Amino acid sequence: MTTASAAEHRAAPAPRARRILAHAVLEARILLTNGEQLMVAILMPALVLLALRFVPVGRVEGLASIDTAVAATAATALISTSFTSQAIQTGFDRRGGVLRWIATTPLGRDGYLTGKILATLCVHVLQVVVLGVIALILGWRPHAVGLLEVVPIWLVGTIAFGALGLLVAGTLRTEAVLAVSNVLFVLFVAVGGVAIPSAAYPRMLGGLVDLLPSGALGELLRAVLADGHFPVGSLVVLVVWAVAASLAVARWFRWTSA
Amino acid sequence: MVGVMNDHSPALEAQGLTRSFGSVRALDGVEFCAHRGEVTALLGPNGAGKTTTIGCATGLLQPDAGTVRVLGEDPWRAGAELRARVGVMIQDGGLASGATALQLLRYGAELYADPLAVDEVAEHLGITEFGGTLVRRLSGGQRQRLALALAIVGRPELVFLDEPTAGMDPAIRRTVRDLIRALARTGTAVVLTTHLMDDVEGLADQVVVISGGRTVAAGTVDEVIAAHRAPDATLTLSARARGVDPSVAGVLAKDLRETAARHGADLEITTGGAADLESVLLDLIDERDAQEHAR
Repeated sequence: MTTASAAEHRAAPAPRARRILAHAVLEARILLTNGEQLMVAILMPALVLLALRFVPVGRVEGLASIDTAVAATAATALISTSFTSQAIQTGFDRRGGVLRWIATTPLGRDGYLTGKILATLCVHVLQVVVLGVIALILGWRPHAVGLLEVVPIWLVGTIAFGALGLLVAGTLRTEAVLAVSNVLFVLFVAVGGVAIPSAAYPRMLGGLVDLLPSGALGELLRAVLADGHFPVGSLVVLVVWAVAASLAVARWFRWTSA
Repeated sequence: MVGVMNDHSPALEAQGLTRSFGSVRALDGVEFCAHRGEVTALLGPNGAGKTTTIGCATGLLQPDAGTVRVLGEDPWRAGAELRARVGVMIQDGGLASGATALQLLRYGAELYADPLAVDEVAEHLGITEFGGTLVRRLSGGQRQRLALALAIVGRPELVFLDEPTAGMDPAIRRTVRDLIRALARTGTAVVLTTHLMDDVEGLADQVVVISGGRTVAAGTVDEVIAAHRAPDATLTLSARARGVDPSVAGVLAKDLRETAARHGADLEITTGGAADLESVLLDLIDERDAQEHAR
């Protein structure tokens, strides 16, 4: 092995974009080659889609069951990848000292987080393709306007749930991260306004569900994909969650498990 | 490695470094200096403050008081430019467990503008043989090698190695020691921690002994021993004569005894053993490798 001497050669970082891209590729590769992660990202939302298409649960009067099923599936997919997968992956990275080592490299902490967000979006693209094809086979016929309206909702939702995932990963012990992220995922989907709309709950309870990030996301996706209107109030709720969770991450996230 | 360097200017200077965790004071005024082109070993018992010292020097921890300068800058405020000039091998690996060894090494190299050739580093440290294995399935020694490769792949000017040879077999340990010497020869400042005293004696130009969060001794190995041995202490010198022709062994032993007697020392001579255990083990491994190649 030959190296130039340290005095002859001043080490330098790769350009920022290349560093972030390298990290995003590594993260995406790890996510997509891990069976458990794939199950959470693809299989579980696909099961939700099939269940809601054929089982009379979570339906809204006047709306096609495939449309409400697709909206619930999209919310489930977003939560599973942005929240559950990221919380578990980051929690184990933190325990294994990965975050500590990365903080000493030219990538740094901000590069790590940016790369992680890019990797998450990459998995989202795969989810959209796979779940979209299944939905089309099941009879879904999307409208162009509704699909365009999904984009900003998807971005805000990814930030909100990604930040919540990092908050869980960066403040709890790894074992607790595993339990809390899985339990919260089930609660968000089952009773948090994703599979069953808040309108199906008693009024007081429905009001609380509307204030949850999952309730706001479910309501927004159902509205633009099935109903054709845009509930601004739900978007405000989701933005507030995104900002609050991001600030909480900046304040409380710990890079070491000590 | 090419280009032997004679620049021994300070790469790291720590003064009055203090750091507490809650009510526990981990560092209580640590002072030391690590120079370019030298290997500096931080020694001390578990909990002495070595890892906290490295944490402050790598920008992972902010000292409560005191200063630490790394390549002339404050590591706590380090940007990508400074971090690119410093390589770090942390004690518990810090390796993403879902990637393969070679994927991770290539990723590490991509973070630098002009890294070492990944294939050469992998070959040199024997990583190629397990390059396709997931990190979570690697043995402790294999992880150590990968962490070391990641620490040096960016051609750092200063490298921190936390117990670099722990868990390695003798052949790899020898390779790693040679690599550390080569890094220092080419002008890199190497700061390492270890509990293996033969690593220290074989590698370190300077040792810094930390205990209870304070620097209690610093200097070369000989200086530290000379300054801190008891006044009436005696030394035991051990030497090994290799390649002795059995027909002259008796004469050599007699000459050695006479020389020792002139200096007032008792000499214990053992014969029959052709080599030390480490050498025997290496010879056996080499022999097996040669047989494998011959097949």
